[in-house]
Amino acid sequence: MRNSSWTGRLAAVRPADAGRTRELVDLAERTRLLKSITSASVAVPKVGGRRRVASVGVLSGLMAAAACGALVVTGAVPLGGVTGAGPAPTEPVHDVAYVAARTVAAMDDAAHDVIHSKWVPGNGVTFETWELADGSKNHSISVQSDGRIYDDTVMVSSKETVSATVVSYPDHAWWTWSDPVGPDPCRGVPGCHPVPKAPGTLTPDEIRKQLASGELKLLGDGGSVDGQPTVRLTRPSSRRPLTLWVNASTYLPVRVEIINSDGTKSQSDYTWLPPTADNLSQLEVKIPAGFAHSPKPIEPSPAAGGGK
Amino acid sequence: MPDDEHERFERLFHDHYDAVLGYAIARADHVDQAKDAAAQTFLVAWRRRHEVPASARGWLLAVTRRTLADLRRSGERQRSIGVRLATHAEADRTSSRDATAEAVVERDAVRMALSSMTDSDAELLTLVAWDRLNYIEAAKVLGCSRVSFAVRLHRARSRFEAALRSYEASAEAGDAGEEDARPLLTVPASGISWGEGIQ
Repeated sequence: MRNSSWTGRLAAVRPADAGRTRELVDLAERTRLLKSITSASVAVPKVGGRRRVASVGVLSGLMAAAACGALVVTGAVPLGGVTGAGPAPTEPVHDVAYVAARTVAAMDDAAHDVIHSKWVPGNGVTFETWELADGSKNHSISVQSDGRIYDDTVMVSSKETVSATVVSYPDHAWWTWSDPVGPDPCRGVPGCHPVPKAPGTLTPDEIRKQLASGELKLLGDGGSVDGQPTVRLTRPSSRRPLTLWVNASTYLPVRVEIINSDGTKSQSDYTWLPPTADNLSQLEVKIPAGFAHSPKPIEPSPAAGGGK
Repeated sequence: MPDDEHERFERLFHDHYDAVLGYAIARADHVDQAKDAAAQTFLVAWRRRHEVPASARGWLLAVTRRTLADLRRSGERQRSIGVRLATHAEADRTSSRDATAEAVVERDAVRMALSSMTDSDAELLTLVAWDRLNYIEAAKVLGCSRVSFAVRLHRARSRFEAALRSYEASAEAGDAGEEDARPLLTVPASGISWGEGIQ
């Protein structure tokens, strides 16, 4: 009897070994592994500058993982005028922990804002997004390199469903769809706040994680971004280097730049808008006159979409 | 080191080791690579134990995903999902799974459809179907939001189902005795690249 659901059909081709984990690694081997892991120790960076340090053990065969948790020890950097030749700093000397803590506090204060972001992934397409900071609503417009709008989508997320209204400009059509998401595992889980975003950018939660990772270095003065003086932080050593600019006064993130694995740059600029009626209206989709309602989603054609 | 910290980590290890290893095996080039990836995942989790969220599975699998990518880069040339699935297909025929002709043909069609997906689409689909992650966990693995994940999954699922229909139609044409039973894949390329999730 054939399983009719797509998940069931795919589950049937999951490699069989993946279901034999208890045979492949028995209890004794797991116990040895657990012991070897917990006998190793490293410095665990924490926001606020405190650092937990324990003795370093030997973990044969596993130390290559250092790349996943590498510590970056950063020195104190004077903010303001540190780019280029170094004039004597006129402002207090701060370190990355100070900037990280101020940024997190600023984001906490702006938790009800509408975040406007522009994401340029480097493939000629631009995504402009307005999203509620609580993750419940997201409006995104994608524009192709020739300036034509590709699609205009509003997504509303609840604990049970994600529903969307999609306006496809190549198809001159619009449709809606809804998917159940099941019980929300974030319910009651501290610190779990899914926030919508365009992939390749960072959500506020992801920015917080970066700030807490201990992997960011403070570069100091980031120059002007959209007329705002900024402070620049970077994560240079990862597979995809990342640079974050925060407003030097408000400490809210204003720009993220990621170097993709193919060498292209993906840049997002953020504007934090108070939740006024005007700003909230940016979360609504606009269906142009003459666009037809389609009863179901229309698959993009290569000619219309431009391909990958 | 406080005892309760050890106990919490041991519970984390025992609760999630099978999920992490299963995820790795399903995607690694071989079982030893999967074991390495699982071990490294828990080493990272131990080192960063203060950052591991209460709902840990998505966080752990995100680490496993990155670790696997690192292991592959440092080893042989990375194999596509199609090649990896093909190596499992032969083992599948000799396994204890339902080996009726209909079931084998069905699984082959699903494998072919999945192999025709981009790695990005295949990853979305398998996180839900193989690892049974909910949207929030899967989004965490890929480094995107739940909403973005839902959009991408919806599109990937449509492409997968179209590919599957195409392969099934070809198989049925083959059964009916037509000369050219090769699958004719008519699935359009994805419209706009969604780029990569942040690592």
